[in-house]
Order: sequence, then structure tokens, then C-alpha cells
Amino acid sequence: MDAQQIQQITDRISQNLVSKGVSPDKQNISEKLTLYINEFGVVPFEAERKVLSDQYKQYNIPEEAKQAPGSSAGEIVNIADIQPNDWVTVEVKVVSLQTPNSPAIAQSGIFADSSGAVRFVVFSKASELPKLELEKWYRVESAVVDSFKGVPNLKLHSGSRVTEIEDDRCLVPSEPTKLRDLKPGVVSCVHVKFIEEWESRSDRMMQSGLVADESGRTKFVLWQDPEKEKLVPGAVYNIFYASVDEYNGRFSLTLNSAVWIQDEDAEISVPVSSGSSAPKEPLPISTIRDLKVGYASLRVKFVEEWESKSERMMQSGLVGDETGRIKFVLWQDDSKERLELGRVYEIINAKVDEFNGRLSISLNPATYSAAEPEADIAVGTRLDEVTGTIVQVSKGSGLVRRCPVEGCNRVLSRQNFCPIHEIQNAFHYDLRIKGVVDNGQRAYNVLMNREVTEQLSGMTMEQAIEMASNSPLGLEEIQAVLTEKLCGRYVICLGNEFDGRILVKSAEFIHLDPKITAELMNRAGASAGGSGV
Amino acid sequence: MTSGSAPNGQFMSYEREPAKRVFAAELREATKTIKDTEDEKSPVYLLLPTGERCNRVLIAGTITQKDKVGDQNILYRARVSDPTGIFYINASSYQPEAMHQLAKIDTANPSFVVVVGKPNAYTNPEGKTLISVRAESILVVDQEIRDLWVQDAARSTLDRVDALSSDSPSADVLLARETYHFPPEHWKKMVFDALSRIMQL
Repeated sequence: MDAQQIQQITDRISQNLVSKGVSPDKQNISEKLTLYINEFGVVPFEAERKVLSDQYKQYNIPEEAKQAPGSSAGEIVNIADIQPNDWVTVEVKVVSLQTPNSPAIAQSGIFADSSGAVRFVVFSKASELPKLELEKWYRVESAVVDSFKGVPNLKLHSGSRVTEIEDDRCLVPSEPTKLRDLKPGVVSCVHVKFIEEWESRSDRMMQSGLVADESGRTKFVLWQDPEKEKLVPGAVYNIFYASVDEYNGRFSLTLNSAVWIQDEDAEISVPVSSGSSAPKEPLPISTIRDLKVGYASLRVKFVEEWESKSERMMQSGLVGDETGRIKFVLWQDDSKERLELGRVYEIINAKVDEFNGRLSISLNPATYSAAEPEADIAVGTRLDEVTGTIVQVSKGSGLVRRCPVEGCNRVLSRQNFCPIHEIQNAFHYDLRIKGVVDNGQRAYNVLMNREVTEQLSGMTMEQAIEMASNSPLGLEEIQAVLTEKLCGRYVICLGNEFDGRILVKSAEFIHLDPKITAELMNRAGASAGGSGV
Repeated sequence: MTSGSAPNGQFMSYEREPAKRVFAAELREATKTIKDTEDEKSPVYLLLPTGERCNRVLIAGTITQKDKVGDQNILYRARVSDPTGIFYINASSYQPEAMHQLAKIDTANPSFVVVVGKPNAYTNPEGKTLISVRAESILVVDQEIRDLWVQDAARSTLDRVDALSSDSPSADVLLARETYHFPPEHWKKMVFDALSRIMQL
């Protein structure tokens, strides 16, 4: 929502308060409205009702009428100092422009000043704003600082003002940031060596790999862009205004927003780290369940062949061992042989990659052979996958007491009564969730064992036992805590269906992918009279 | 849609109603209820304007108000706003869990909540149908969950809109076409606007 509309509502509320004999604090009203409308997505009419009702409450107790924090309107703020929810004026250079991924956005890119850099968007609705040009300086007034996952970004709406700065300024880039010190957002400058180039996994990807400096190494990606040139492996670069993203706790650099200059005289001594570079010795055989990103050796059966999606791909499919299955890829390479379906292979030093939280292996760096012609493996069964929202944590969830009689293990009643073995006071505890995961079309009953429950809730069984013994509600407290921690959360569960209930083997939370928002907007906008991209 | 679970011995296994993801601006327009049989235990469904029946909803948004009504039979009422409008939520002593959860939520400052509940249609003396949601659970969540829900509700709504203009419509779609007269673009615009409110760089 733009500043003008907020201003209109602020004026309406202020007039109402004036008519009640109080002098309104417009700044405070406007900030509250901005908080409800822009941060919390409340519809404007409801925000107006809420803020007015809060103001009424506030002025019944006059001494509590608090002063709003000082305004920074008109004062120029350094990019490094901007805070989410501020309305700011900045003087900035456009150092990067990107193609917006939604019709709601007219322009997006990166602003920089001598203190730092920040991503920005100009909304399409703000049609009166001039079109920003690369490399030019602008004074931007009344931009809104929004934040996403703690990273500030600037939004230019129809209430913002933009004027080009004609005087000739130069932007002094800051000292390079060490990779160890990266933060999500935009990094003004890094000084790095391109140490490892990776196989491209998609046509949209132009180049990816690892860059490193003295402090560490980081993945980078460059998406297809005819204006960009690939980096040269082994060379040292100064990279300006790369985007820093965080995924699963690891940072990566996206170079499409960036410019880089090769630093021909420099050499960087990169610290050696295990995992990323190919091992010299054959690794011992491990199981699919225990794989981690890096390199590994496996003994597996080739169980499912997939149709190649690209000419560069020689073969792909699934291999499995007793503990599970994993996708493999073999890229075109004359020195490699195709695998034969149904045979068991010993694969030495395959590369294990992670994409969207799923592991896969690449056979190109590996050696493999089907040495034992008669060998077979009982491959772990494929698990059912259920994705949805936990809509209920049912009775019987949480801490339970189980019958200690050998082979029984039944859940005891409140009085430690087992339906078969009667009173059993030497019970043992267990932690579990009986619940419902709902995808909007079907509701699945799920049963999560102790391991899955502990992992999702972040609460160990020992902590649960202590919590229950300190609570007047006893064991019921644990069910309430699990409900609060897990109900409403989006999860992916893997498990086997048994008697109408999915026995969950592993589960994880689903995280937000902003690309999906853009895709859905395109889907909604394509035929909604808007101009789909 | 029928309960399609396999018969289990002599008992039909009970299949829980899924929770439909629906934006406030759509739920508000629902007026038609459906009952498959005259049996009083037969569930009452609300027919959504986009052509699916629902007997349970999953919603997310910002709680803006909470009121306690009554002394003997306590009832909590709350207002939850999504990017398209308001949901009216209530929880009484018949839903003790939801009532305790709602009682604990502080509404002095805004917070995101997820609500699972049953939609109820009530026609006031002036003949206007109002929809409220009787909460089964209401819990405070973070922004990521709210944004995931907006994506989820957007996808579900677009799927329903696609089915609404299908050449081989279901019985519910036919009934919806007869009952409600919104063009598909109306819902697509609602979805687009809701998504643009959570759109980030």
C-alpha cells in the first residue's frame, strides 16, 4: 500500500480524534497503519478500524499517550543504516538492473552508496516515477524499507519521489568483505578466486561453482544472461554487488546482479577443506541413508532408468541399496560407460550434491563396475510422501508410558494399566505424535515416532519428561506444547501407509520459496486481464 | 467428492474432511449450503463460489481483535484479516482447546495466526448470509507460515477456478455456476492481489 493511501486513512482517523477533542499523533497513527497493512497484510479497512479503536483506548488514559519515534523525513540516510519499516530518503547509484519477475513490478535492481548496497523494486502502479537508468545517481524520497528474512530492501511506490542527481559523483566501493563475514542481502565487494567449476544442472544456469578467499569458500551461480560472460576457472576476481542468499544455513552468491573485474596480479591462498574437492584415495563404501554432500562410495543396484531430459545427459535414474534410493546422473563423457538396469555396481568416489534439499549423485568423477554378475540387493522400499499442513495433534500424542513386558509395549492408561498385563509400574516412556496432515484434498492420519517427534519439535524426550513432571497438567502438557509448536506448520513426511495411518519415517518443515509466489502471480495474472510475463 | 476409504471389516472407516484453503474475500461470498441426505448426522457443506464444497477450512492471517462474550457460557470472538478481507472466528466451551488457545493470544500487537475450523452460515433477519468459522484450533505462527498459506490458498483457488470453467464439470461446479455469478477473472484478480502483498525481492 502506498504512502498516499496511508496518508488518507491517517487524516480520516486524525479528524475523528480532533472531533473528540484530542490532538492526534499522526506519525504514530501512520506507523501503526503501515505496520498492520504493509507488514501484517491486514486489509486497509480493518487496519483503519483497529487503529482508531486503539487510539480511543489510548486517549482514555492521557498520560500514556506516547511520543512517536523521531521522523527522518528529508534527512539523507546511508544504506548501511536503514532499518525495516523506515520511510527513508537516500542518494544512490543504480549499480544493477534486473528483469522483474512479476507484472506488478516495473523495475528491480540494486542501489549503492559508499556505505553499502541494497535491493530495490519499483512497483508498476507507481507509473509517474521516472524510469531508472543504470549507472546514474538519484535522490529517492519516501521509499519504504521492507524486509525479507531479515534482509532490508527498498520499495518505491506511487508516494515516493525520485529525482536524478546531475552532478558528477563517483562511488567509492568499500573494502572487500571476507566470505566468512557474508550476510544475506547484497555484498558490495568480494575478492575471490574461482576454484571449482560445476556441471550445469539446468539450461537456465550459465555457470556455477565455488569461489574462495583466505577466510572460506562459497557457492556461486550465474543464470543465463546474454550480457554476461563466464568466469575463468583459476582466476582471481573483484566481484561487486553480488546477491547473497541463504539456503539451509549456507550462503551462496548470485552473480547476475554483479559486475566483476579480473585481478590479474593477485593470487589467493585458499584454505584446504574436505568435502568439496575430489578425494585422492577410494572412500570406504557407505549407505544411501548416511550420505552427505561431498564424495562417497556406494554399493547399489540400478533400479530405475529415466528418460534423458537433455542431450548433455548420458543417463539418469535411481540406484538403491538396503537403506533407500537415490537419483544419479551421468553427464556425456566418452570415457564413461552406461549402466545396465538391474545390475549391482560398486561406485567409488561419486560426487554427492544437494538440490532443493534432496541429495543426488553424479557418476562423472567416479569409477564404477559391476564386478559380481550374480549379485543382488533387496532395495529399500519406496516411501509414501505426504505434503501438507499439520492440522491436528490428536489425543494420545506426546509423552506416553509403555508396558515393560517383553514383546508387549502397549500404551498404559493413566493408572499404569495395560489391557493385557494389568498394573505395570516399571513402565518406560516414549514420545510420539498421532496427528493429521492435510493437503486440502485429503486428510492423512500420521504417526510420528520418538525420533521424528524430537526432530520436528526440537524437544527431546528427556526435556518432555522434565516438563511433564513440573506441570500441573502432567503428561497432557506435552500434547499442548506439541500442538503449539507444530499445528499449522507445513511439512513433508516420508513413510509407509499401514492400516489407514502413515507411519512417518522422516519429516521436515517446508520453507518459503519466493519464486513460487512469482510463478503463481504469473498463473493468476496471465488471464486476469493483467500483462503476464 | 465422496468418502472413498476402503470398507474396514463391517465398519466403514471414517474419513476426515480435508480443510479447504480459501481466502476471506471468497468465503464471505458463500451463501449456499449442501446436505447429501436428510439424516441429521449428515454433514452440512458450504458451497464455495469457486465450486467446491467445504466442511472444514484452513486459514491464516493477522489477528486484529478478540472479545470475550458471556459469563456462564463463555464465547470468544475474533477477527482475522488475510490480504483480501476478514474472517470472523469464534470458539466456545464446546471447543475447549481452541478457546484456551485463543484466550492466550495477546491482541495488543498484531500477530499471525493459523486457524483450522468449521465454516458456519448464518442468515440474519435482513436476509444476508454471514459466514463465521468455529475454530478447532488457533495458533500463533511466524510470517513464513502465513506466506506459505497465501501461496497454498492461491494455488488451491486457481485450481478451483480452472475446474469451474471445465468442459466436464462436476455436480458441485454446476451448482456453483447456477448459484454464483462471478467471472473467473474476479477470483484470479483476488489471488493476484493477495500474492502481490507477500511479494518480496
